[in-house]
Amino acid sequence: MKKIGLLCLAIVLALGSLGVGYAAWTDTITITGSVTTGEVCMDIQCPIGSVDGPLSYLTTGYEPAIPAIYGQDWNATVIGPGFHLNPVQRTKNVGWVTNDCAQVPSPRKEVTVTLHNVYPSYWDHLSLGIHNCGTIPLRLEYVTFLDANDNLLIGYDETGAPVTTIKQNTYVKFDLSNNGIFDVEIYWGDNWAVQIEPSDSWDISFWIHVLQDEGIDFSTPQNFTFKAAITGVQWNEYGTVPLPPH
Amino acid sequence: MKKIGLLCLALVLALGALGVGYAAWTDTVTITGTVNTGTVDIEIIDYSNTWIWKVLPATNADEIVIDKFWDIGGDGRTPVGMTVPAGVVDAFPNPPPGTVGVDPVAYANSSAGKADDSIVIDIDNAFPLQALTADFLLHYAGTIPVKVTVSDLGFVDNTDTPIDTDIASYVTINYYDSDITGYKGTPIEVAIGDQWHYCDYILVEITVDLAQVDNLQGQSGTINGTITVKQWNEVP
Repeated sequence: MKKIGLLCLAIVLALGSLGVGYAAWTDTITITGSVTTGEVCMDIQCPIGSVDGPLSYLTTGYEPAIPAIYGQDWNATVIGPGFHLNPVQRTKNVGWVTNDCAQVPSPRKEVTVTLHNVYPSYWDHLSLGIHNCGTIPLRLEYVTFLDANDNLLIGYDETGAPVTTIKQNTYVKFDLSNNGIFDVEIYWGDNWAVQIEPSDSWDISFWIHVLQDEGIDFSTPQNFTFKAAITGVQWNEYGTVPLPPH
Repeated sequence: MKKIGLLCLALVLALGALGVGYAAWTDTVTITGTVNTGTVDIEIIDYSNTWIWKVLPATNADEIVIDKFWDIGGDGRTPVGMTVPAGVVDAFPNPPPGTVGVDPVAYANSSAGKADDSIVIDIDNAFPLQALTADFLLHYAGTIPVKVTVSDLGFVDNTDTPIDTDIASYVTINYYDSDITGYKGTPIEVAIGDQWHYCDYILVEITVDLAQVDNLQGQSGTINGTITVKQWNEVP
């Protein structure tokens, strides 16, 4: 018995000496890496086109006539509302159009186009490029109209129904002077739902026509402001973006 | 009588002369044996990716192609349950076989790290409502059952210090029962604390699934994670 007792003690001591702090066995996989997210980005491209040429430096009167037709005003054929017939080019430079595109650093989220010294029947065709400065393809979802304070601007279609947002080529007129008489009408052109790939650009354009607002005092210069906010969306979400509330 | 005594004495003397240091009879048996310890060992069997393509001419918003092939044994792009068509080149941004007019948009990729038992995950240009998954197949080659005790994945700065990011809550890691092909079938999720046994195959998916939240755009981050298994009887 004595020998068995000594044997057991020897085994215990041997096991005990195997390692101090006896711990469970483990194995580990290590994961490293990176995650980046894409970006939906639109940028207005310069120059902004206008059929009324780039001459814009006079502030006291109208631009001097030049021999060529370049810079001479275009007028709607019909002075009343509606883009019924092709516009015609007149023989005078009275109004002109400027924009601040070149002064706005890229990415240009907002540019200001100013129609100077315009009058009823004045007509212009404005065009601009929308550039995809992001990493995800996008589509133009809708255009919303805002006043100078970024409040939704209510326009009206040809039936007189109110419009604040458009999703297709369409007509809208506005009472910018808030006197109950429409001042301008526009007809929005293209490129709805066209996919703009990263680094690509697409052209959009609209016509603008100044209407006969008898309620305006034209003895003093009048300035009206409206904004067209163009919303683009990642391509696979087109058609799902809710419109801003009225 | 005298002769017997002498005889006895002679016998004792004779026996006594047989050997100085008279000892007990002995015999010996020898025990020889071996002790083999078990192992706790995870192997990384293979890696897979998600590649997102957009069909260029399509005007339908749903025209995207999701390419998710499984590469078993490094033999090229082997779709699960399919064979690689001849001439297919295994590299992003080459489009899936049979597709034309597509443009690569985003990807999630897993690949072997430089150190043993390490994996590198790259997820690029993630965008909302399209999950991107980088996955890899583990084989439990250990002979002792284990349980996962650590499964974490987080964002870190350039000193590997954990940081908070807006996209952190949209990155998840999940485990599924699988087989040698990486197929998960009707997914049976493996929970933390479940036992892994010898030759179990576990598919691990790291997924980025962003919500339509503006401040998630244009972000980037470095991720760091660990999966640790421990012998089962040491895990409560």
